[in-house]
Amino acid sequence: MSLFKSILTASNLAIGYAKAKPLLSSLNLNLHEGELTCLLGANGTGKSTLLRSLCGLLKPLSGAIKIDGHELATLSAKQKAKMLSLVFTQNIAPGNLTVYAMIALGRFPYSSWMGTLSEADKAVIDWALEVTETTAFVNKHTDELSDGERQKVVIARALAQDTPVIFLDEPTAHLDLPTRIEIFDLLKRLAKEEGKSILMTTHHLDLALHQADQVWLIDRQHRLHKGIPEDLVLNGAIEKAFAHEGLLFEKTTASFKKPNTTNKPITLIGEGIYFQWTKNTLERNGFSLAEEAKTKIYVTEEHVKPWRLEPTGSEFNTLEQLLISLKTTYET
Amino acid sequence: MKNAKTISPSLVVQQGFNVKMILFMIIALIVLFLLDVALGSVNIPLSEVLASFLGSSDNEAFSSIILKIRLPRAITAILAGSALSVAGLQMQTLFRNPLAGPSVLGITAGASLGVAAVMLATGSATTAFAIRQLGIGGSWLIILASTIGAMLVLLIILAISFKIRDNVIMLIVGIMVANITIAVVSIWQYFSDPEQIQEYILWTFGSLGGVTNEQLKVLALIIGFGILMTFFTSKSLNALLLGEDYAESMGLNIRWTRIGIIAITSVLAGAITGFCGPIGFIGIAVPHLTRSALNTSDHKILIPATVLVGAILMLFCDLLAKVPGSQTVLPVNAITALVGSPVVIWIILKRKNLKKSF
Repeated sequence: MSLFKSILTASNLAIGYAKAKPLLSSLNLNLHEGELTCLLGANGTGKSTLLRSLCGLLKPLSGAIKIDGHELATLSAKQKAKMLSLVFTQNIAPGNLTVYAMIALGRFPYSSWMGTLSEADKAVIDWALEVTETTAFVNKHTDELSDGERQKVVIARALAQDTPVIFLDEPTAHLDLPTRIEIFDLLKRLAKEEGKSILMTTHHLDLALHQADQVWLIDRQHRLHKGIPEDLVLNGAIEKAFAHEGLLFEKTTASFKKPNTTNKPITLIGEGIYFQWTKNTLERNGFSLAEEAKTKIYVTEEHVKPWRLEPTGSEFNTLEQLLISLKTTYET
Repeated sequence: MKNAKTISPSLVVQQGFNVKMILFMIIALIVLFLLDVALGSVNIPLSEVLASFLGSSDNEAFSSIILKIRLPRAITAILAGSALSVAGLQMQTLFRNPLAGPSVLGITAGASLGVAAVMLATGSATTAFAIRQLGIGGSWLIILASTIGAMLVLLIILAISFKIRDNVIMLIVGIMVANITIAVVSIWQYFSDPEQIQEYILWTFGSLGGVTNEQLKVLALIIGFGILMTFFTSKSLNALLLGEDYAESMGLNIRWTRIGIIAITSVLAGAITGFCGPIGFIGIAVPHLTRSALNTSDHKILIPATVLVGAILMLFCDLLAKVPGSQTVLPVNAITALVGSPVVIWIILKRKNLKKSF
């Protein structure tokens, strides 16, 4: 751990809204420079509260937070704004601002008292537009953008603030899958290529486990686990934190599934992508895979009709046809 | 910042406002100002109006009407329109609420309380009329009372604002304080003599004609100072467009900004209310009209434009209130609402973008 330089440290931190009942306590945290850290945890475990405490919007109950060696509590609002920028969940984006004007607001701590932009300010804004790939709609009004585009603009505004540390609260909420991946990718790139230290809360476990350099995980007992994502999967911390009655955790894919409750054994023989999707179809429809079942399905990708059902010997063009056949067999 | 590049030639950033629209506003302001001076219950030829301006008029009655009555009135209209509109703009942005205006924080209500205290509580021997007869500098007492009333409510609001971080809660508190103040005035009225109530009600109608040349200097100084201060807040107001959390994360001191904005607003609204009575509607409507006309929320553009539009609308209302060609002068408070409300409804239906501004 000491190999990494920490830009933000918290020691013996207790946070929450009432001194008698801290939400999280005895926290010792290090945010590594140039890394993407994901803060995970079920609803109500205190993710956002921790984020708000670490950036000084909420006073910690006890303990110390240091950012780049400075005590956070002793920094002025302006000094803080040059160290740390924020992206919140709630949809901001006043419609009457252009994308450029919105991003230019990020220069607030640097610009003159009238908010006039210097050449240096403009260069930073142009850079923020470029890395977030938002240059194309610089003159659009923010309400004309798609959710994903708007989220990028909001991130560009944080970049324009030119801070070593960026905090994001659920930046991928309400976004569709490709856009979510795009945003994660952007954040990862900002950490790697621009050296930003990024802390984000998220509910998207799969993406976080694939992209995060570090994971901070808050479990239901309000304990915080730290580590690289794979370690937290292997030591069972992820499973425990999100454990839910009636859900099974699959360590191979790090995803939660509803267990099969019916007993309709089928043997599936084959490999590759066709095999994988056939398996999905069967599991989704309440069949369970068994070694030596009476019903067998042979999957051969190269065949015109890739699916063969034994013992009947009938062949199928699509999974849907196979499924209909299986269902009628099991119902009669 | 490792890869900062120079501006690519394709990146042309458009300015967010319409120069033609601003020019149109300036012309409209000049035309309306001249009309407001030229038209009134006494028919004065245009040549005499111009002559009076240049000081070359032979007709003393005409030039006296122009210079001592109409000119102060028109200038008062400009000051009142600008001040109330700018105050409204600041309130709407601070509270991120399209319904906010200078009256919501109880500033107008406080001023009314001050005036009521003078007119109603002093007993029948010293009605406002009697005070004027006593010769205490015309209606200075009324103005002083209204300003003190506005300041009193403001101090209560400021004291509470130290305790509350949330601006929406602050807005609700402001409305409640305003209601309490209005209730006190109501009870006061209930126990007062009809003559006293009449004086008070006349004041609530609002009037741009009661400001003398001497008072106008003071008013212009206060309003000019207030509007100048407003320009200093434009950067903070822009940051507040993103909400308080963002503004604070960008280094804005929310508490002092709020105190500053509330103080400026109450000076602007308090002074106008004291001199002209409670003029409604302008403060809420003009910021919406301006945002709609220029399609921007940038306060560096909005503040000067709001000053222009506020002055234009107030002059227009004053023109209507004087009912050109007749001897009647209608209460300006009624005209502002009568003229402005349909305009705002029309804009809402046409643009549908009022709410997006917050």
